[in-house]
Amino acid sequence: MKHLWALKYYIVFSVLATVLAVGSIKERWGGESDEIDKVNVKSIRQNPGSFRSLYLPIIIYSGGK
Amino acid sequence: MAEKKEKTNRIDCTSCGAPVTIRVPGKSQSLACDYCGSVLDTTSEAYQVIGKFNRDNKIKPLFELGSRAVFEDEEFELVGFLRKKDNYGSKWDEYLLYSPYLGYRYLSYWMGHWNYITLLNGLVFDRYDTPVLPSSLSNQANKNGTTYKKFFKYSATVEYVIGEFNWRVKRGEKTSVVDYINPPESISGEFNNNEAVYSHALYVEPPAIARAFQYDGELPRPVHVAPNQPNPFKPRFWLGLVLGLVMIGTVIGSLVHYESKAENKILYNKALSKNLLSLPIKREGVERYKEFQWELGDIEINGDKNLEIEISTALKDQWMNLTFFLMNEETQKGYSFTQLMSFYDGYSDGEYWSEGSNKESLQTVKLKPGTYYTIVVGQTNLRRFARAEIKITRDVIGYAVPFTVIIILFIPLIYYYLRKRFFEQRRNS
Repeated sequence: MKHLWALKYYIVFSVLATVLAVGSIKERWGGESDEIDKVNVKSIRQNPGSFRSLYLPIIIYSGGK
Repeated sequence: MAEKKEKTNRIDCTSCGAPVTIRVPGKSQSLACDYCGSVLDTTSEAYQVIGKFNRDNKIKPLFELGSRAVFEDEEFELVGFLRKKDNYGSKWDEYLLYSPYLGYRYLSYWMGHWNYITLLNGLVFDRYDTPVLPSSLSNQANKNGTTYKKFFKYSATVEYVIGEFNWRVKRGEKTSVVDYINPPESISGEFNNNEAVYSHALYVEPPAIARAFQYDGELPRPVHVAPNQPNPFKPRFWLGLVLGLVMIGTVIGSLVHYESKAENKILYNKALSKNLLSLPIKREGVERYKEFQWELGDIEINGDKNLEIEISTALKDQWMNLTFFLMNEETQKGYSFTQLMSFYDGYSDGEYWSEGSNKESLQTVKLKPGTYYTIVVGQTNLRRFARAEIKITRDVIGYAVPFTVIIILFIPLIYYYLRKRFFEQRRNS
């Protein structure tokens, strides 16, 4: 039979796509996030109004670290 | 022995005197001289001329008379060749094969397509249990428990002959033919004033014909679609459908299973507002905006779970960029997620257009367990008030990837369905 390669690709493709779908459901794939490190949450909580002026530049300029 | 037989069966054409060979003496009824086209009566030793075919344009069969071929585990000899024409102008060839054990068989050839044909004993009946005739109204015929669909009705004329035949070949004799198909098989009824002949045909791929004749060359490639040619896309479609349904079922089953186990706990659901009047205008390039923040408080993550953040705004030709900072007091680590909201609309050349949306949602990856103090920092080109509804739900199933996969899994099925359908359309055209 000619063009059987298409069927073979479809079989492999559909299995992979299904594994991908089930993996995304199980592992709760989500959008990209930046990780933040070394933030003094206690201090932010006490004075949240200062977050943008004091902490945000540090978070942004340190690339979230 | 073979030499003696050859001598015994060789005669001179009673019309032109050319040597011709009778390959199946005692069985054949007529013999067409390849040189002059005369048809000789082979039932008597007088070899009387009973007809004549035109030899102006000589036709060379793909296989020479006398060639051997193996079908049904028996060896056949090619003894006759005909070219026929129907009343629509279509032409095809028929090769007559003979085996001392199985008798006569035919091979039909049309545009690279081959059929192995066996004459049927007895009648073929239609759906009304009446014998199939040219006048049959039934659109189906039955034979040996198989149902065949009516395909075509036409009249056939013999145009050219070489070799010998087990009937008296007559030039210009017309027969009415009705074809019924059930690929790769078909049955045909061929009728003239005196008799009705029914035959069964099996579609044979060209390489199988070449093997049967031990032919080393390449036979012409099939073009168009033969009436009883199997649709190659039919098994692929059904296999693809079964596979696709199994995979789609697996995805849907997983969705149902994990959805039933998902917590879907709403942690935060509030309409927020911020007076921007007192805030300074910031500038970045040509963009001018105001920056503000909302404190959402603590978000509790119990176990490796994700969050879904749904945002609703009422923007019109405006934008609002919201960054969610989730910070864990214990570990002093956290995450940030950004969602840009924007909505623009208007009329262009009298047609309404819109871009962006006032409703967006983002899903996070699984977060580490802990209590996260959450602040939202926003930038917007709004000047007076920033308003948004924010809903945060814990442990939510994402539907975007599974649904995309389900749609993608359907695409090859649609492709195979269309190919299958186009093949049938070509068969009927």
